[in-house]
Amino acid sequence: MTKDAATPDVVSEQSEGRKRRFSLKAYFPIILFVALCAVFAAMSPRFLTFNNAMIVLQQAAVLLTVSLGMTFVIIAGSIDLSVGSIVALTALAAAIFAKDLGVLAVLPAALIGTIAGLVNGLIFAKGKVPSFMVTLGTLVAYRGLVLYFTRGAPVEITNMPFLQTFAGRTDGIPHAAIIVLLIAIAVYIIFNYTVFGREVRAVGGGERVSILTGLKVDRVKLLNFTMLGLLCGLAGTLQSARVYAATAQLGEGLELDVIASVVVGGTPLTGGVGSVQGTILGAFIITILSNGMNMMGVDPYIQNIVKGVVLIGAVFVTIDRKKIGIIK
Amino acid sequence: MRLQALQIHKSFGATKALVDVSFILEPGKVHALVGENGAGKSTLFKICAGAIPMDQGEMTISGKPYAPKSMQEAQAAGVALVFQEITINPSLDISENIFIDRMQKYAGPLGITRWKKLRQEAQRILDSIDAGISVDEPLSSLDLGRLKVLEVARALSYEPQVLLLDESTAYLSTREIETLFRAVDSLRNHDIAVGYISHHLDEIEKLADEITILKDGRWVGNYERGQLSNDEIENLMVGREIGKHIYPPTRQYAPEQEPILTLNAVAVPGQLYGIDLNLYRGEVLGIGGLQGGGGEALLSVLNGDVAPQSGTMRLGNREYRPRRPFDAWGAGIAYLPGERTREGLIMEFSVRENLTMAAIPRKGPMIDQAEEKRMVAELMPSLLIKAESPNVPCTALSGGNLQKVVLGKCIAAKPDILLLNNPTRGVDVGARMHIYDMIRRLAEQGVSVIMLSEDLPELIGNSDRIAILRRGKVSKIFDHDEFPSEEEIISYMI
Repeated sequence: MTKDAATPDVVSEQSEGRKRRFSLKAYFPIILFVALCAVFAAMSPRFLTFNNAMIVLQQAAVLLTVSLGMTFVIIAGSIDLSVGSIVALTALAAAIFAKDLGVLAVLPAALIGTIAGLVNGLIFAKGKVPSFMVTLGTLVAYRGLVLYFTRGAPVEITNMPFLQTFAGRTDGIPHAAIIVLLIAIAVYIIFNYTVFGREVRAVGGGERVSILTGLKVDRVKLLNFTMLGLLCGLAGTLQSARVYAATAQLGEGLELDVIASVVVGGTPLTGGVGSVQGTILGAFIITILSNGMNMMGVDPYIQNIVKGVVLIGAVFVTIDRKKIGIIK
Repeated sequence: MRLQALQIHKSFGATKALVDVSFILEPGKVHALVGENGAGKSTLFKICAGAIPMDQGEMTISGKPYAPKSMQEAQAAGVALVFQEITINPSLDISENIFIDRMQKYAGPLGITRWKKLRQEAQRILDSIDAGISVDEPLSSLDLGRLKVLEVARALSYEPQVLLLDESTAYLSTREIETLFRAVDSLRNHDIAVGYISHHLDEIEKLADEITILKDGRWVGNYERGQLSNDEIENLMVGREIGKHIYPPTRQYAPEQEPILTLNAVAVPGQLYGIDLNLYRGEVLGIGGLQGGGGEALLSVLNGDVAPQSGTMRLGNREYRPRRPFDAWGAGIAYLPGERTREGLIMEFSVRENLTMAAIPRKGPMIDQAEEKRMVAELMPSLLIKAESPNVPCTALSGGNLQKVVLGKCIAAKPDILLLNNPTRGVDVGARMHIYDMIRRLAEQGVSVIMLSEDLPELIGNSDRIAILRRGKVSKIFDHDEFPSEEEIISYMI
């Protein structure tokens, strides 16, 4: 900042601009969500039905669980590209342990996810390697582990209590949806009401400021990646139950949908700001986009193009250009 | 060309930076603008150069109305400004620094830069102001004064008719200032109208044809060369009543026997070479010195941001060896950094979130929201923070208020020792008084304050003792019963 009396003036001008931009940013996810629902409802009579709503909930469960954890990581200014591989790894753990442990197979899956996240966090926070590079590496390495153990063949799940608990329905409501709802509530509370949640935003809003103010920034980063790993473990469990198996390809490319959910939900990749409710909307937007286009019979390749456009559009609206200064 | 700025008014929020100030520049004459820090000098220059708009007033160039909306417009009208901060890009060489935004002009066929022509032209400009700088010299060989001269050369390369030169923050040494003064002197021969802000009163007396004095944003007077003595200028500038008034009254203070913090031969390679220093309970220890003299490094060591290579520190009778700032805050040492927007505050955070950041009240893992509200309700009025509510983001606050928020953050941590790095940098006079008052109150409550400041009157006006650092060593400690002048302090800085 300059050392002169002009500072206040510049700041107040910025804040006005920011306020105006802020309102559009704040409402963007909900506007997009409602618009998409309206378009698909107009195009397909099956879209706005209870049954389809439940399908969307089921489909969104895995994406949403991982995206909630990713929100913390991105708000703190980092990124995790390895989530798809962690989901595959934990789905494999759930599939292997389901035979003997039944429902409790979720515990080894969660544990392995936590460890995978912890490893990411340790290399990033303690080893001071950029999170992008760390998780690009573990994206490949964790997937390698899955391939090594499965030799490429799927591990099927036949344990009925496991399948019933994680993929079944009660009164037509998918259990996965209920589980995700509970997770979302917990994550919302952590983000908005705990010291840790405040620290996550502090680290993303100004890492240097946070360090100088005596926050344990390394610990925040470590916890972030570990929590995301745990959530990947839960997501892997849900995913394995949904497809009755763990496959070597499971979760491939998931990181892109996850990052898209977070960003479309109004959390910019620059960190510092963002919200849990935005990510929930973002995950539903991404899911509905696929669900609705499938229902309309849109060519899957075209679907990718549309998704790409939506992602760029979301960044275009939500990015705070004043804060970054230089766009790289 | 003649630049007239008449009855200029400018406010930043509630702060009146300029009230009814007039300033006239004549071609071929050097017109000095003097006044204390915060008197409004830089603001006036920025208005003249189109960097910020005025609220009220009238400007003309050669009699024609002049109202630049940007610095580019001002430049096109022939008005150039050299900022108080050094704006030389260290990764470019001398000629590139002068012509960086007009390199195309020197592009040959295929867009390849014609270096020879570029360098010749740069050298011509440098020689025309008697700079004594060769374009072949590496940038790193230039001292502060010659860097400033290089900036003058860059401003001249736009062929301005009016040149505004602000060197008010840099403490140039007598030798460094000579090069700059020679350059400014030669501008007269170019028939350029020069406006000049400097703190070097002795030299100004010799150089300037005319002097305008500002005090607290108001016009004090306009004088011809030789009309006033140095002392008279200083008196008008400071205005005994007001100038001293902003600092707390001198107090009876006798340090206790036992220091609470002891530094013994603390060294950081390239920055600190064996610092021995004691800090006593309830005192304000001022730290003076040139930039890079070791003051910043000393605060970084105390804050745990930089680990000393050797030496010991003791807090009371325990060894103090912070591995990171977390340890410093835990040991009761709070730190107010030098750059509030980059190091002190999270701008997206609300006033409340920033204030409690170093001491978030908790109930287990949860934030104790009721306690947080109570803390903020206590801090905001005691620091006179002006904000609509504690929940507005800090982007909505003025510089002075932002600095009070950073100070509030430190106070919220209830420290035993408070480290301040230029606590009033870029802060208006009103807020400065509040901050000084707060520092004194904390000291009276038993908090020990270490205040690093580049502002000498501030250092003298607030400190019980003053330690001067020079090239990483303590060159002098002025005790609580000594009252050094600015000149005395500077003599130990250089």
